[in-house]
Amino acid sequence: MAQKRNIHGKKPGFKVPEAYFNTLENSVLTKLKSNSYSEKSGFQTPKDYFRDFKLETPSEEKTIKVIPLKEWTKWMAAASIVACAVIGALYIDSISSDGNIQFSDLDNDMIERYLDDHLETPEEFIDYDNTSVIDIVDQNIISLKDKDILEYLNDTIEDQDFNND
Amino acid sequence: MKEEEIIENLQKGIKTDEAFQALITEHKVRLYWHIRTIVKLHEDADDVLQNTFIKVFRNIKSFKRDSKLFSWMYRIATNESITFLNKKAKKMKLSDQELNDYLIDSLESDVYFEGDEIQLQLQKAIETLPQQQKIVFNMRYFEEVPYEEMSEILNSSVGALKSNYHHARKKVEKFLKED
Repeated sequence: MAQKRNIHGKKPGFKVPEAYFNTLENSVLTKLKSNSYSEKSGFQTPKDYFRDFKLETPSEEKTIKVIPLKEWTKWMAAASIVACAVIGALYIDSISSDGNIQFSDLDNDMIERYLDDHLETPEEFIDYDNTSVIDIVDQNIISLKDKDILEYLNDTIEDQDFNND
Repeated sequence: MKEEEIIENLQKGIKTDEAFQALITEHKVRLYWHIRTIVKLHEDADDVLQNTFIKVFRNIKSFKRDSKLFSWMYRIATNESITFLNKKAKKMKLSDQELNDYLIDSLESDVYFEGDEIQLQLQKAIETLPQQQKIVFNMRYFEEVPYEEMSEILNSSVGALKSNYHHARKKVEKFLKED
């Protein structure tokens, strides 16, 4: 065979694509198979559908970060504690700043308004005051000695003439 | 690029573009026809084929080589086709049978269906079959998939598949004779 081919000492000069014969069977079978599908079922494809069929390599799906529930609750608890502390501090601060107001800072109108609001009836006011004042006076008078009382009267009422009574 | 190399490259993320294109070139025709026999219309088959390849790409790392790659892809294509039809029925608010009727009606006016009257009747007969029998009949009759391979793809015994095909064939014959 080899002798016959090289009888003229020339090569044919024809070339085929590399590995053409290796893939020829597959190509023919694929084509045949494709035709047999459509012949048997009646389904057709658009012209050159398989030749033009291309698909971009899909991007990798982004992995979703999963935060464990336990860790989340831990953070929530910590945040709640901090929030409570801040709110508490602000509240205490507002109370203590109110507390810094001295009695001398208040004008008479404010005091009267306070008394009107908090003591609904004049009787209540009188009863309350009388009781406490009388009690205090009684206790003080009992504890004083006659000698001290006379001394006090002599010092303070010098110019008055008792004989006129 | 050989199949082993394609799988390894895709699983390890080496030359993925090249490997993915090789995968498509190798399997697009058979997968297309498998999908087309289930969903009937070319546009739908094209959608499902693309989704199938995307799913294959995204899940190739979970392919454990306990079956052939093609069987694994076939299984994905089958599931994708069934899911597609279910979604389509839901979207169009049709029952399974109403969807089958709709597909056959669409086929009659489909520019990509050039079957004769007998082929159209055959498609109508196939659409009357339960889903499993329909898939087995299509795979055996049109695609000539061997039972052993079909068993691997559909995760069913050869005996059950033979029985499915037998019943499907009887029903199709009956439909064609009566019609």
